[in-house]
Amino acid sequence: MNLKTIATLASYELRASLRNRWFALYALAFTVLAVALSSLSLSGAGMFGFAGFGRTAASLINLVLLIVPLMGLTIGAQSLAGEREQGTLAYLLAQPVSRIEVLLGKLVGLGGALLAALLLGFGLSAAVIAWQGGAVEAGRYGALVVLSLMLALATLSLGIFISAWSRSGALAVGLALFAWLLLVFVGDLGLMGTAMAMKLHISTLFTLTLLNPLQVFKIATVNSLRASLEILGPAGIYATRTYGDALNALLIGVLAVWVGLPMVGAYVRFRLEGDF
Amino acid sequence: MTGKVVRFNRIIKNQYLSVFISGLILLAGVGQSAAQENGFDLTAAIAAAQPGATIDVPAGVYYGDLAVDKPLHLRGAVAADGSRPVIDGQGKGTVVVITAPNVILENFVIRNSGNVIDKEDGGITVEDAEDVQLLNNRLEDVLYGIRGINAHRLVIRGNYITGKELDIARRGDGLRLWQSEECIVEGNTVERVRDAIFWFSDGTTVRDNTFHDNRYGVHMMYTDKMLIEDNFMVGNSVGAYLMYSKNVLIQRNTFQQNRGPSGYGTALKDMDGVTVQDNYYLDNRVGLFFDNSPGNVDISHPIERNVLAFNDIGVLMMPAVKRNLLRQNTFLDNLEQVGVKGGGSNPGDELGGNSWDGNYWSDYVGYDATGEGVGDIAYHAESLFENIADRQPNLRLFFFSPAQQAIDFAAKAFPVIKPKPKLTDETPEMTPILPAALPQSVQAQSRIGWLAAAMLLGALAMFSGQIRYWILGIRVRPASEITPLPDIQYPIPVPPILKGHHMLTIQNLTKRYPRPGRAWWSDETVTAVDDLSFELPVGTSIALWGVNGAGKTTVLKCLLGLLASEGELHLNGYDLRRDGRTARRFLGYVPQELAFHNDLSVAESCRFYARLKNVGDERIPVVLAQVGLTGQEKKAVGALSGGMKQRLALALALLADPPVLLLDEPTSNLDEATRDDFIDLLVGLRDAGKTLLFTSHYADEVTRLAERVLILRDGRLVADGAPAAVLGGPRTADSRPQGVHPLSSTESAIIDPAPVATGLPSAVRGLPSVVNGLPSPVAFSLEEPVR
Repeated sequence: MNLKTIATLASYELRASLRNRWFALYALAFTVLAVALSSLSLSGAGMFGFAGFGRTAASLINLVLLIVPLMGLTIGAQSLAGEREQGTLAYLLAQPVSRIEVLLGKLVGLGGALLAALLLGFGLSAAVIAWQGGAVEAGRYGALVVLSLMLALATLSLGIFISAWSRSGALAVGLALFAWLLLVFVGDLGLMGTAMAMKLHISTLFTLTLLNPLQVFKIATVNSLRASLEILGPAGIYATRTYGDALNALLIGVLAVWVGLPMVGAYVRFRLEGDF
Repeated sequence: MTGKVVRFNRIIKNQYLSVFISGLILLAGVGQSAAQENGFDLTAAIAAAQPGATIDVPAGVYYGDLAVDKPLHLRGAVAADGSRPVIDGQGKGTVVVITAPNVILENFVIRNSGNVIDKEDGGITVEDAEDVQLLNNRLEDVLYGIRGINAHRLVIRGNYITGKELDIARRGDGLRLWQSEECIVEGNTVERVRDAIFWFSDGTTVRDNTFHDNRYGVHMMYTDKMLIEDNFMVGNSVGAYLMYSKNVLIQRNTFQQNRGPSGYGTALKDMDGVTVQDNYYLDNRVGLFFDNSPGNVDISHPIERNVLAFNDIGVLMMPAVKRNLLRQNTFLDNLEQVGVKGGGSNPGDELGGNSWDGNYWSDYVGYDATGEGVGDIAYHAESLFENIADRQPNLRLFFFSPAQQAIDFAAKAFPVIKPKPKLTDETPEMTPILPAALPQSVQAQSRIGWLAAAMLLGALAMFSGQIRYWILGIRVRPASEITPLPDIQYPIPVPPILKGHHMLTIQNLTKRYPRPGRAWWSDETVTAVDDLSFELPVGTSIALWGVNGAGKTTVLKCLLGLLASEGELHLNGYDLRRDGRTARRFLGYVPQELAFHNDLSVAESCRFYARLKNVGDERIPVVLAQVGLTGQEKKAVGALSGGMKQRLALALALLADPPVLLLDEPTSNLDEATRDDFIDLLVGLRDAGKTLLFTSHYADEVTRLAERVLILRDGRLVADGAPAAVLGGPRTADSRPQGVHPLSSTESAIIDPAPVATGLPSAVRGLPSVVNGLPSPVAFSLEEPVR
């Protein structure tokens, strides 16, 4: 594995993504919405010079949960399957590169593109907050950005996994959208229904929630913004009491696993399935 | 207990013993008794004083417990630096015990009480004594703070009370009034204690105090006619919990960040005759909590002009709470503006017994066309998710997630599951109503502006693409800067080639594809290359010849590691499968389907692949000139013609000056004239010592370029020999104008040799003679159309 090769591949991916029309659309949508939400939410809180955990953070979390996984999953899904269809992947693999380099190059490059989009959206949003005099602590806002990046990488990794296992680009994007729907809505709704119907124990509910990287991001964000999870009701209090100071490490660890595991799965397919 | 205190004082009064104890303390190094130093004996002074006298106590440390059993004014001398006389309890019992009326205790530091919670060890106890005043004292390191038992009209003003460093459950109460009526608690700060308790103490006023980091800021029971105003209750588990009392006024307080497990700003349980007005409830778990208040059916509670902002729940009510009249309150960005604890049978029914008209709701989306400051359409608090979460608090875990919004959206879109509104405000205010006094909250220092600038700079850098190259070590350098990479030499050093060594060795290469359209559980395969073996000596040129589907491209792809295959593949000693990455550095590949990244320019493509091959940029103009693409550097690859792409492919293959070239139909995209030149170029490369393996449809190309031809049929090698022998005599230039004869015509000839034999070039007719030696009838059966 050669870092220069990975950097070369990553820089191509980064550049291609930033020039990609879909990606530009996502980044623009994210930026516009982030700025609009911050601006709107602060119009109420500004009168106190005291934002609390008002709409700004909550709406930004919601925005991230909707758009960032969509970005990560679809961009990841297009990556391998699309290039395989076009034949560019085969030509690339005929060069002196190894497959893990190609895979890591994709992750780093596309991750960089996602980072660029996040920096733009969160940066402008923070500028609006600063301009309107909102008292959002910079460290906590930074934590929101970093956790968003982790979520972006986790969903990107999942997208690449889907891409590696899909025969065509269209199938991969379709599966990615399905996965997005599953993570954003269906999984949570199913879990809520199960919790109500089965009277799930609070620890079971919390553990099951950790299976969804989106919820892990959300819980980690709330925890870093509030320093506890009380706001999430009894299950949050349970988590705070059970895991205490280790909670942040646990949540970030789960997100890291979500970044790594699908990549391993993608590599298994990409490596063993030799045909291009 | 009082008896015991008195007894101990009697012992202290014994002068000899007092001196002895002081001496002991001196010896122990705890500190010299200031009482000794300044010669002032506080206990003796109290004993000697007439009732009603004022004793001015000089600076120093005095030791308790101190009993004040006659009406006296004890006044500590405040030094210029603010320090005051200290009364130290030495870690035992209660420091000061007042049992006489009209005592004034002023300007003392009272510290170091005992630690026994069931004896209520503390700072000051006022017992069975009326009209006592405790002014401007500082109580620290005490278990309980100030206790008033049967101490009517006790005044506690300007004191600072903080407890011992204990877990909240083991702390004592900072203030405790018990059967002490008409007391005034004013201007005190009470921190890090358990509760401030007011029980059976009618007519008490609690004003302008700060309660911070306690369990209950104010814990009140059976205390009628209480006034709670202008207090700041921040960071407690509960701000004020009021129970079983009548006629209480709560006004102008700020309740902030009271976020314990119940976490109420103000909780009212079984209260009657309460007025709550002009308070701020900020960032509590619950702003206002109502439990059976009012309890009396004839009583209603005005709840007016309060600001409930940023709480998890603004107002929370137990089911069936009625007769609270909420008006002119501001509900601002509470996660849940109003909730019913436990959900109730139907939140709408449960809250309907209260009046909600005329409040400001930050989530109101109506309008005010008439301009009177009141919304023209009613405000409805309705959220299916909130109703569910009220009933199943565990599901609050899903707050802030799109699923929550999906539920609410579904409820709005499909009225079948739309909940009955929790409450309706027929005349919602359009603007927040803020009490005159703003909350005492402190605005955090915010560096968000700097963060914004940093992030935007980062985004700018990435988007502008300047720093992108810089970060990742790839930069477009002007030509003048280009220097060869030091570790690269041309040609790239290849392991020494042994005499008679084969550059490329292929043994028993077999490639099976899954049969197209097979069921997913089936392992049926089709064999594309079947047990193929051949060698490529250094500097030779070999053509693979065969119909489409014969397996030519498959062989090349297997060599490149693009296809998994069986058999042994070696490139000059490298195992192409195991060391594929390294071995591919010695392979230049021109694919049949020219798939490049179309968004790159010719120069960018070259740079990209040069870096992958670890080649310096100075090779780029060389190879571009070699294939005749000089001057096309800035063209986008996507805009190139097929022929140009073919040249680019060759240029890229030549970047690292590899000893072996794998060419898959290298001239298929070229027109006649350029083909000729291109073949010349390849001939030149061959003559320069490169080893060539190529596939082709063109007989003349094979004849000119190849020294050997391998004929594949269905993945098997069916013939191997010099082109002249295999394909017929060498084609001459004069035959070319008649048309190049792709394999298609040849093949059609061979399928049925008889009719073909006429009118075909000799090169084609020569073919059967070679393959006649094969066991089966020679037939390049065309099972698929040839392009």
